[in-house]
Amino acid sequence: MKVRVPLMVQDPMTARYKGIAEVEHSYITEEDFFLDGPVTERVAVLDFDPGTGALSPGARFLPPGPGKTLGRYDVPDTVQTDPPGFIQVNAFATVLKTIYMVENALGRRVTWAFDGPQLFVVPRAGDDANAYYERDSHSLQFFCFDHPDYPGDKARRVHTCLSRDVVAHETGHAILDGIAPDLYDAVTPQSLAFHEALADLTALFMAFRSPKLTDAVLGATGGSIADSNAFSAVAEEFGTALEPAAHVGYLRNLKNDKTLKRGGAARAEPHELSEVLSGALYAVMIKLHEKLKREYDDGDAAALFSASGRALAVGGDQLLRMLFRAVDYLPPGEVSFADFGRAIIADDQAHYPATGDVRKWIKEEFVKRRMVLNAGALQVKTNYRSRALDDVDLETLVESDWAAYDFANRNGRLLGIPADKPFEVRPRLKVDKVYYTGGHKKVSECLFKVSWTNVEPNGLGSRFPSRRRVTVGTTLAIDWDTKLVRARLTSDRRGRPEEEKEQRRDRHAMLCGLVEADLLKLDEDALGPDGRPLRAAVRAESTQDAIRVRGTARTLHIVRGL
Amino acid sequence: MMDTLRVRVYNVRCGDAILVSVPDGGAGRKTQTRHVLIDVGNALSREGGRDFVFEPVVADILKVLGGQPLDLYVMTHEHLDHVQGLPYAAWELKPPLELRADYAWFTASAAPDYYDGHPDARKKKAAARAVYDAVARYVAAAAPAAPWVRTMVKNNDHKNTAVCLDYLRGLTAKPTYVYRGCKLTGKHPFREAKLRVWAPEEDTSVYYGRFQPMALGAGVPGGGEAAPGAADVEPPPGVDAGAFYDLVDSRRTGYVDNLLALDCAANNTSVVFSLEWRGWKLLFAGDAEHRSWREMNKRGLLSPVHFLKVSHHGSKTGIPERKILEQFLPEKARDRRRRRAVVSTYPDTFPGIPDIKLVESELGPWCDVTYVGMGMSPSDLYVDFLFKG
Repeated sequence: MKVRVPLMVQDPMTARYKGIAEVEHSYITEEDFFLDGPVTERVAVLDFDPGTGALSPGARFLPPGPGKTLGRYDVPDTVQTDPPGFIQVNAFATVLKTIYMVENALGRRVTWAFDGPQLFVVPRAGDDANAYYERDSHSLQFFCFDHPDYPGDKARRVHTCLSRDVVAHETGHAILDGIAPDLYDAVTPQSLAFHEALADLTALFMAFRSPKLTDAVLGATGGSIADSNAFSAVAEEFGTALEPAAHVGYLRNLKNDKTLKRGGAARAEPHELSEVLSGALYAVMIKLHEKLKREYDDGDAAALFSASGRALAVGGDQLLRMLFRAVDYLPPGEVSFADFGRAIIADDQAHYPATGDVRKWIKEEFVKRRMVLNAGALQVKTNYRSRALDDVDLETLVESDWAAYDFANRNGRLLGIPADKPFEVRPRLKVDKVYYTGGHKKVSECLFKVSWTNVEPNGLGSRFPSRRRVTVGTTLAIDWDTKLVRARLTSDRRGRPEEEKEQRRDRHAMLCGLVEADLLKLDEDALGPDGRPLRAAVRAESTQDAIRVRGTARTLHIVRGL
Repeated sequence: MMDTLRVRVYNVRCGDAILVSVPDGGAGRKTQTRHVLIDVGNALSREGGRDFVFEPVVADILKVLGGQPLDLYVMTHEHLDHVQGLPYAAWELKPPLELRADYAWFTASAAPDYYDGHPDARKKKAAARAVYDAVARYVAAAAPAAPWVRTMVKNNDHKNTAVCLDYLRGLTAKPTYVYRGCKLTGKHPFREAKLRVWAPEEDTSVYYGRFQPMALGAGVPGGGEAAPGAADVEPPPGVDAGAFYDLVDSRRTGYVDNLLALDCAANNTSVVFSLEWRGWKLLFAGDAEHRSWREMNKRGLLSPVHFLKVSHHGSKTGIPERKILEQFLPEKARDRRRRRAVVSTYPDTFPGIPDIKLVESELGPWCDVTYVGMGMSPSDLYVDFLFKG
């Protein structure tokens, strides 16, 4: 069954002042069932009335007629005539389309970091200039607020769930949490900034998927994305509402020249820091778009526009695949921008050992923006044989925990597990990737992840234990057919002492900042007087004079709070 | 008594009322006893907040004053458990018991025009008030709130506090709004004793934390009159019921963080001041919490004292961490004088107040700790601490 759904092209304000269509339509095809709400197996829209807290009736599902296959929801095609119904279906559609986009890149279904089948979407969560993903409540929460200086109006209600960018961004957080759950508890600013950057890039790729937006933007810019903020500006309506006087017009801009301040980055705010990474990758996107445009351009000026559109679609998909496959390659534990860079290189190099313009540009950007000291720091060994894999049955390795632990026990060296260290084997994944460049090719992989705990000095004062526990680990990507190691990536930095030193320093600075802001709470201090966990708190759980920090990502609402 | 300074800490249960009587002389001047009253109030509900405690307390203060006005009245911060005792005595008792003061100090942000000149603080305060109003409406209309929640909502009621504040401003013709670094010359009567304000900072925006977005239903700006109880919301077909109820519960309890953040911000605006007299140094900390202690420490204001009014009734948030505490209560007193600390508190008023284990472990080894209110009978009116000059 196919279900036709409306979804916002961008947001109501941007559509109005840019003169582009407000709504476009798409189809949802991959759900087992559709119910009123909308509700499916994986996503449920729960529209609580912001005034009463009661659950508003969900949009009514109209199944296909006899002999037909196309269903729809009983809502109008514009936000103007039935705001609640449209809001519900638009949020649902944008969330699911984002999920499908990422699943297509990953070559597997996404899973949630929480224990439950459904991601809840609360489109009118309350009155605030905010939106966030919250693992504990399995939900995306989109708030509403009054825009103080809405173009053409004195004031107007802004629904964050009507912004395609904002919805895709928050869905990106939920997806990323499912892929790399350790980042939710990360204690380095770069790990949290990575979460933000990926969420922003998810919004970018969703923007590329809007035919109406891409047509409008490329038409207006003569087929270039280099000189326009149309794609790179994240959350335009939201951004203008927060700082109307500044006339910046967006919350963040991926088109930037920001570099990492080495030695000073530790205290950087994650949203700000994220722009270094997303800026680098957007710069790569511009180069890729220009390159493909030249390839598709047959010299006919009239065809340039279509070459540009094709280049954006193809280039956007290529970079999307590279980035999310790299996310799947990330080792457990805290990650740095350099780790992500290595993961991108690894996946691409494993499939295209000889060529790699994009790899070259990524290395250049990472060095230029000081995310690594030199290109050598991004070198990864790919496609090599390991005897440890000769007799391994990958199907069994994926299915059986016992087999997985037995493999890790026997191959600690390959996986980088320190001798005598207890470890945890994560659920194994079988992924089926399709590579398109240079011909259509399917590659299956087993992703094997194992983690362990390092202990380091804490130094947060007398109220906190003197040591802290930090999760690190290794990802082994194994070619399903050849059993070659496609890549081995680790977040244990024994072999990279400079990075280890930097990470420790960053962790210390970030934890000091959390203590200073009264956000880091030890054990029962993280509970409210009613015994429930405080939502704003970052928990430090202590055992044997060491803490483990939990829930730092909760500080990552889309904007900084007061 | 002309050679002895006395700190009289009244038993007002969970609240503060402290009368400091200081023999004040100086070179060639006749010594006279001057009286400083710091706050009078308690928690407004439950056993820790009974109003009957005020009558004997205010009567005793009047008796000590012997018909004279207070030399200095200090209102540490805008919380009802620190401000409502004197208005109560004036308005509710028959006959009314009323004080006057020659000088009065109020926390800087209590000045009527304070927010005109402090835009950052104004923004934070406006956000805090909006959050308070939403929480108060919600708790009143819908929430099956715990007693401590209702107590905390009452204690942070900015409208009632403003009424009390108006009354307290009228105690004197010379109200002064104090902050660290403000000029105190001519703002108090002392000649021999030295007073120094350690906190608050003039710009109180430094004391505000983050408020969490709230999804309460009733009570949010533009919201309805009342929210249904949890039982009124059913998961729609196809929705995982357990997770649904967890979400509903999480939406309805999210305000607790904000209530604590509001309370904390107001506590941190407490006037913290030291009084030095004939080699003794006494520190009155109001309800200062960690942020305020950190600011004081950052600015190098902390120095060893002999007497500490433990802030925030002995809570974990009022007692600074050891490295800060040792700035003013080092392991050993250099002058080997006895050191004392007083906790004005009453159990079962707010969770975690007092945190006796923490008080004993952090303060107990270095000074004698006395609890006033807790464990005392209503007839025990006060505890005196004497410092011989």
